[in-house]
Amino acid sequence: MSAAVIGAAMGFGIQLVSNGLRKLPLMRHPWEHVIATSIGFSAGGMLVAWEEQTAKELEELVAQRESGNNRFKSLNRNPVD
Amino acid sequence: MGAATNFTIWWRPGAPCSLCVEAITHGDNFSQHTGVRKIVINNNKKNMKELFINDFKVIFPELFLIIATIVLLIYGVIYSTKISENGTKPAILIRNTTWLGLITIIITGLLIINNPIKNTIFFYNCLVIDELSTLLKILVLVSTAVSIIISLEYFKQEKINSFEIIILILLSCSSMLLMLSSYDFISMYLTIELQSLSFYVLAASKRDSEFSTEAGLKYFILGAFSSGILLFGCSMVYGFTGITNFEELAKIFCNIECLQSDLPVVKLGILFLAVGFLFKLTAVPFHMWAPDVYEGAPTFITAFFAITPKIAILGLFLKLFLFSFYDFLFPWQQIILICSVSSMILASLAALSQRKIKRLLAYSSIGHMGYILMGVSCGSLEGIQAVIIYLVVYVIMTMNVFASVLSLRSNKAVFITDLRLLSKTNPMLAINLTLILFSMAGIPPLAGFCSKFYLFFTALGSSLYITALIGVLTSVISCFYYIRLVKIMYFENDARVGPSATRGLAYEPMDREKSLIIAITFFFVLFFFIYPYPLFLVSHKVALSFML
Repeated sequence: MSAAVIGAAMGFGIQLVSNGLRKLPLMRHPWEHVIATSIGFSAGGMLVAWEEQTAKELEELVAQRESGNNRFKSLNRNPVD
Repeated sequence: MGAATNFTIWWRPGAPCSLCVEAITHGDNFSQHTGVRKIVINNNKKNMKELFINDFKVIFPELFLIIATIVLLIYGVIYSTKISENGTKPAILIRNTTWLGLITIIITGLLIINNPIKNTIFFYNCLVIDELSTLLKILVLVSTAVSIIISLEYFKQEKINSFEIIILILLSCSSMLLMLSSYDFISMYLTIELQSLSFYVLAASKRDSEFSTEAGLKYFILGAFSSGILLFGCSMVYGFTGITNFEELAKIFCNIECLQSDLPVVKLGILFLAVGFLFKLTAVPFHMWAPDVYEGAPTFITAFFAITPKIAILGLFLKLFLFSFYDFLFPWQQIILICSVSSMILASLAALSQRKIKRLLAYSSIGHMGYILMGVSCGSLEGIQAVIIYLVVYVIMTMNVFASVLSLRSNKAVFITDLRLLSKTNPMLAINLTLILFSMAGIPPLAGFCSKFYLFFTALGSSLYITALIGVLTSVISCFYYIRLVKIMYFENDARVGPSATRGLAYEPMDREKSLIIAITFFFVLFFFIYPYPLFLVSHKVALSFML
C-alpha cells in the first residue's frame, strides 16, 4: 500500500514539475493530475508485485549458483584421475 | 527419423528446451524433448515445421517491428507521392509516421516483456534470447521511443517532412534488437552493418546543412573502416578455430590445454574485434569521429546516437568478451583498461575547452563510456551488475539533458554561453539541468553518484586500484565543466557576454511530451538513492543468469 501511495505522490509531482517546466499554473487542468496520480498509484503496486517475483527468481539463481560452486569444490577435493 | 533426430541441442545452463519446457542437457536430441507439444518423432517434415514455427514465436517482437516498419514505409511512399486532383501538395506525413512509429515501438516492447520463452537459442544457434538481451532490448526500445518523442516539436520547428527519418530510426532499432540476440559472428556482423548503414543516412538527414552532410560522410568513412577491422578480427578467429558460434568458441577456448601465449592469432583477432567495438562505443583513442558527428547531426539524431546504440553494442560486447573470450580475460582486459583510462582522462580534459553544448555532451559521453569500460574490464559478476546500473542511469540522465537542450532549440542555443539567463527565463528547467549535471558529475546523493560509487567499489574489489583512483580524479575534474554550465545559467546574466551576444535567451513554451520526459527522468535522478533496490535486484538477476 505504501509503495502505491508513494507512486501516486510521484505521479502527482511529475505532473506539477511538467506544468512548472512549461511555465503554466501548477494546478492547470486538474484532471491531468488525477490521471498522473492514478498511473503512479498503479505503477507503485505493480512495482511491488514485480519485485517479489524477481526476488524469488533471484533466490533460485543464487541457489543454483551455490549448488554449482559446491559441485565444483567437491570435484576439486576428489579429483578424478 | 533422419537428420532432425540427430541434431544436437546446444546445452545452456538453466535454459528450457525450445520445444518443451523441460531442462536440456548437452547431447540431447529432439526425441528426448517432445514435451507438451507432442511432436510426432517419425515425421521429419512435421518436426522441422514445429522447430520453424517455434523459432518464429521467439523472434516475433523483432519480426513485428520489421514488418510494421515496411508497412510504414509503403504508407509513406504512397501518400507522399500522391498529388490530389485539385493539384495540392503531397500530404505532410511526418507527424502521422512519428506517432505510428511510436505505437509500433510500444507494441514491440509489450511483446518482448510478455514473450513466454525467456531463455533459449534459436535459428540454428544464430540467435539467443536471455535475461541480459531482454533487459537491454527494453532499454533500447525506451530510449528509441524517447528519441522519437523529443523530436516531435523539432520537426515542426524546422519544417522537416521526411518521414524516412522515422523509418530509418525504426530500422536501426530493429537491427539493435537483433544485435542483442546475436549468437554468431555472421548475425553479429550483419546486424551491426544494418544499424550502421541506417546511422550514416540519419547523420546526414538534414540535407540542406553542410554540417550534417559532413557528419554523415565522416561517420560513413570511419564507420566503414571500423566495420572492416571488426570483420578482419572475426575472420582471424574463424581462421584459427573454424567456428563462428559464440558458445562453441567458449567451449573450444575453455578446453584448449595450452598457454594463451600459444594462440597469437586468436589474440590478434580479439584485438581487432575489440578495436571495432571500441570504435562503435566511442572510446579513446577511437573517438575522433564522435564530437564532429554529434555536432553536425540534427540534435534529436545526436540524442539517439548518444543513447541507443551504446546499449546494443555494449550488450553484444559483454556477450562476446565475457562469454566467448572469457578465457582470454587477461589479454583483452589490458586493452579495455587502457581505453577506459584514456577515455576518462581525455574526455575530462577535452571537455574543459569546449564552447558548444553538443561537443561538450559528446566528450561527456566519451567519459561515461570510460567508466562503463572500467566495469567491463572487472570481468566479474559485480562488474556486469555495475555496468548495467551505470548504463541505465547514464541513459536516463542523457535523455533528460538532450530533452532539455532540445527545448531550448527555438532559441538556437548552440554555445554553452547561450544558457545564460536560463535561471530567469525558465527557473524550473534551470533547476532540472543543474541537478542532472550534478548527477553526471557524480555529486551525492543523486543517481549518478550511486552508479559511480558502485562502479568504483567493484573496480576496487577486482584489484583495479589505479583505475579506480583515476576514475575518482577524472570525476573531480569533470565536476569543473559541469558546474561551469550551472555557473553560466545562474551567475552570468549579462546578455552581452558570449559569441551570440546580441541574443538573449527568451522563454519559449515547451511541448507536453518533452516536459513529461524531463519530469520523469528528473524524479528518477533525484529519488534513486532513496530506493535503488529494484535496479540492483534486476541487475543482479541479469548478471547472475549471464554468468551461470
